[in-house]
Amino acid sequence: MSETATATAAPEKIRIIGFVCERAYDLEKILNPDGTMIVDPDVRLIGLPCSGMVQPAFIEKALEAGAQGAFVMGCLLGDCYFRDGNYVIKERIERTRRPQIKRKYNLEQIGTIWFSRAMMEEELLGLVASFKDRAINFCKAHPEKLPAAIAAHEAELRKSRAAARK
Amino acid sequence: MATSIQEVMTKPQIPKTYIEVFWQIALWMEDKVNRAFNNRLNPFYYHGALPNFFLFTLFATGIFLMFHYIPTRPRAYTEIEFMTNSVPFGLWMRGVHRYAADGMMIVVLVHMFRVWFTDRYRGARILPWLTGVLLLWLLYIVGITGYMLIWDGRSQIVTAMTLQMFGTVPLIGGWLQDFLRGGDAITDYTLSRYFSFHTMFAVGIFFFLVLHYIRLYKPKTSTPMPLWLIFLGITFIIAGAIPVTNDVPTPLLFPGTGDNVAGFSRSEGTTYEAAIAEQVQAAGVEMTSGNATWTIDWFYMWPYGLFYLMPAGAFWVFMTMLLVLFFVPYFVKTHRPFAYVIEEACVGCQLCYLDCPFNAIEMIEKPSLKKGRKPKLLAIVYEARCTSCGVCVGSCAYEAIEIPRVRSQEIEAAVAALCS
Repeated sequence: MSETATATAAPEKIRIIGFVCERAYDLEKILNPDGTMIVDPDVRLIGLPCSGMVQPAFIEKALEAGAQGAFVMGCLLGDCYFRDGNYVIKERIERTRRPQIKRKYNLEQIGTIWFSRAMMEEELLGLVASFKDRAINFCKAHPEKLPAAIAAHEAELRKSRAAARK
Repeated sequence: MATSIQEVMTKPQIPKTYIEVFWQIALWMEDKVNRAFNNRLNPFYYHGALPNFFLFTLFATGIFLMFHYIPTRPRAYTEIEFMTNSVPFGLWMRGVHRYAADGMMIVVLVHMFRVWFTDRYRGARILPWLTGVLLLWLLYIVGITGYMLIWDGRSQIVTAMTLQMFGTVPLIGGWLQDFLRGGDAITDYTLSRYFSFHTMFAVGIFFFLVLHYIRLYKPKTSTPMPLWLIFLGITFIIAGAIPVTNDVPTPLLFPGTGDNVAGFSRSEGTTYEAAIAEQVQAAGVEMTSGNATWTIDWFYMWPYGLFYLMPAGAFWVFMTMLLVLFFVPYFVKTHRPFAYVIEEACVGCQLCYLDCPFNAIEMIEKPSLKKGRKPKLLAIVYEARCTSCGVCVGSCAYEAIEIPRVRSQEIEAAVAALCS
């Protein structure tokens, strides 16, 4: 039985990348040494001194490299260890502060989690899992909006314009 | 030894000392408040703005009180009585001033402990700590001289104890007593001196507050309206419920002019309050106004309780040990890495300058440009102010500013590796 390869086929590998402030939670409790989460190896975390260190380019690179979602985790709003790093990255993602996430990237694939070391690990794992579900559902529902599909579409447009000019 | 970028980046760089325990305590309390209210109205997140609020309240009510104050004996007492009982809003202004002073000391201590417990006082953030400890002592002096200005029985006992306390300091005790008294006896110069200390150090608080804030970009100096309304409301309610009164009227314990200090001695087995009452009785003063019991404001009178309880030498050793507060930032070894700018890549967009939380980046004209070219801006980092947080790295679309711990390209390489 042949099936037309549709873009709605389930992705082969699931990758969720998280950029995590090391003060928002004790990373040693939830990570393997290679950066994968102990409870869910599809989620891979990168520890940084502050969530404000995240350039939008990091998130964009993660999505371009095939990740279904990328999130930023920082201290609770109002309690950033470095005063306002979490507000700064929040605004960069919401596109109210430059540099901002470019328009072609979907905000449904980008998440923010604000957490505190005094909160329970189960709550954190729940938030990560719900973001992962949201990102994967978006990828399944809108494959044409994914960076790979957009890049392919743009390449086709360039080809057809080049052909038309000849 | 880290063998991969991942290990470097996921290894936490927070010192594992007593700080972790303290931090958990602070965060646990704030988490409970966040769940009860909202993290936008959590007073712990405005722990710096709340002292500011109380300071402005004290300043505003203090101006009113200053208009009605005459620093001579006995007019200080009588004018304050008159203002409290006969001047419109006098009772409220006085009450709010007195209780806001206690509120100020409470929120300042919460502020100090929170900054300490959440590890925000070391390294490049040391200036707010040092100025903060100084501000705490200035606040204390302003508070205690405020009580002395009334010149009621409590003020006079406190004066007597303070002079006795200073007299026990070796070598310079006599000079300290003269300095506090404005001479070798208690005269009107004494009240004038208290008044000067009270207002001068209050002005000093504003001056050192500038230094306290100067290393912070857009410091939070005001709380959301619901919060300051609540705190102002609480102060007003307490001022109405527990009106402030003078404790003991004139005649004074130091009648006439030019009298020396009456020594304050305690007999074995008496409580502090009983000893004071004994002293008052011995001076032949009748308590006719207000309540007969002494209200001791422990926020500002705790040294007197200590001085009463322990020998003078031990008391001064204890007070000197409090100076150790200045050295708290040095208890933990602090590394001071700082961000660096790659001059060729910097385009002068100023985004890092606007994002840096600690005013550690400034823009200068690019020195390397050839003559005759239009001036361009270059970011420079003040190394002493940089906390190596990386917010500037996040703001730079040109990867022109980096922190030593990990570079942007290394993070991007790690992202690519993790996605594969």
